[in-house]
Amino acid sequence: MHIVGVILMLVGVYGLLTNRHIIKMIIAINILEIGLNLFIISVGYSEGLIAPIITDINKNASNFADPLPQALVLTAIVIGVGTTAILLAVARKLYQQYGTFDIREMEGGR
Amino acid sequence: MKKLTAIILVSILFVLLFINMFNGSLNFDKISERDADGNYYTEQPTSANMVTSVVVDYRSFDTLGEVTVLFVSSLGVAFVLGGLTTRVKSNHSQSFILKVGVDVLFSLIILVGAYIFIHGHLTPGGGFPGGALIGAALLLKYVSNDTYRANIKGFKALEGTMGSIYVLLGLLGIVTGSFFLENILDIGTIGNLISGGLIPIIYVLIGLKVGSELTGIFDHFMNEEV
Amino acid sequence: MSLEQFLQLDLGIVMVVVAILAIESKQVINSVIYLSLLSLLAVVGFVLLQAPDVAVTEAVIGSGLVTALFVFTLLGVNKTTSLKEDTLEDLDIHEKTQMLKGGEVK
Repeated sequence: MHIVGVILMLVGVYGLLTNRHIIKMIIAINILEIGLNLFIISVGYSEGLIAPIITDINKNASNFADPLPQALVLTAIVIGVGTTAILLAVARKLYQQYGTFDIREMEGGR
Repeated sequence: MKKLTAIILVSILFVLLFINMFNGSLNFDKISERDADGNYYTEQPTSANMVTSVVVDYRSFDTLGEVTVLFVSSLGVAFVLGGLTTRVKSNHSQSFILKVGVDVLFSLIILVGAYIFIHGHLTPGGGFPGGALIGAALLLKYVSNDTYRANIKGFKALEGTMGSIYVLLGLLGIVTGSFFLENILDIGTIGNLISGGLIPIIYVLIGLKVGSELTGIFDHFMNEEV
Repeated sequence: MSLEQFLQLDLGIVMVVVAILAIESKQVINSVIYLSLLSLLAVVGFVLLQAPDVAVTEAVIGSGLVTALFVFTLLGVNKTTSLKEDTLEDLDIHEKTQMLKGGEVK
């Protein structure tokens, strides 16, 4: 699963480089974030580990998956939502100002 | 940038990542065995859900930073889209079945969201998905009804109050002679509903705060100026 | 190869295919639906990697909130002003028949 995370990140970077539509660039940023979260969690997992929750059945077990990367990814997902919200608000204001979503037709673009 | 140039750049990046990450010097199979921090977190957890004890107790300052990031993003949306006051009118007529159905489901969804953040230290979940579920319930009310506006002033007051109480609970740790954001109540037995010290209280605060913030963001998105 | 490894490989291939479809599709609304599908597959991936906390958070946020934000941004866009590369496909079937009859597009 590490390789899937890396490939998703590279697909996101490729999408960010080649698109001209602003909404598709925001979608590429979201694909990059999904790939990154998948990669971080796959670092803390190996074969045969179980979920890090103590119940009555596994009180004395010792092969829990690593809870530290999961805590970091929990934070990262919510920050991704905040970033997407403010990016979409700015994109909507740009549409009201210039009448298009294409970045080459806006004033000051290439 | 043309597609061929982008493909060449991305494949150069891929080759560099492969050389440095997957050549055997970083052993991904054994990283959970030799991680000293991981062992510390799994051998002395403060609550039944170990991720909760990492997020709220051992790394509580990072959670305070994340709450700040959400607050700043809500502030940014309010600055950019703040001058719009009337609801977007849709082209088709509103469906009556959808309106009545949402009125029935609304209280159930809020109940499930509150259950998720109250039992955050026992079951998977916690404050963030519970609050997001409350925000999604209000989004459902906005979608089904063309003239509905939530009580935005009340939600903004709730959001500010919950954030301030979180910081005040942290300062209480300094007052009693220890470090900022320390768990000052006692732990109790792991697995009960009332256990884990400050952890359930902080998750309730975070759940309500995230719910109000997302409601505010959706209200700004569904408006336009006439 | 054990069952677990086979499931992870299968899920990985489908995720990469859906991501490439999301980047390369012609209409924007199709890309938004592919992003929602990718988020759902990521939830299954998180469950297979034994992380239930992260799976619940990504399920609530990725499927409901982010997709709704994208759709409500695209809601108020006039359909006839779009990019140069996809002009005819953005009009729906009503406007296309009107244009073919030679009349005005409303």
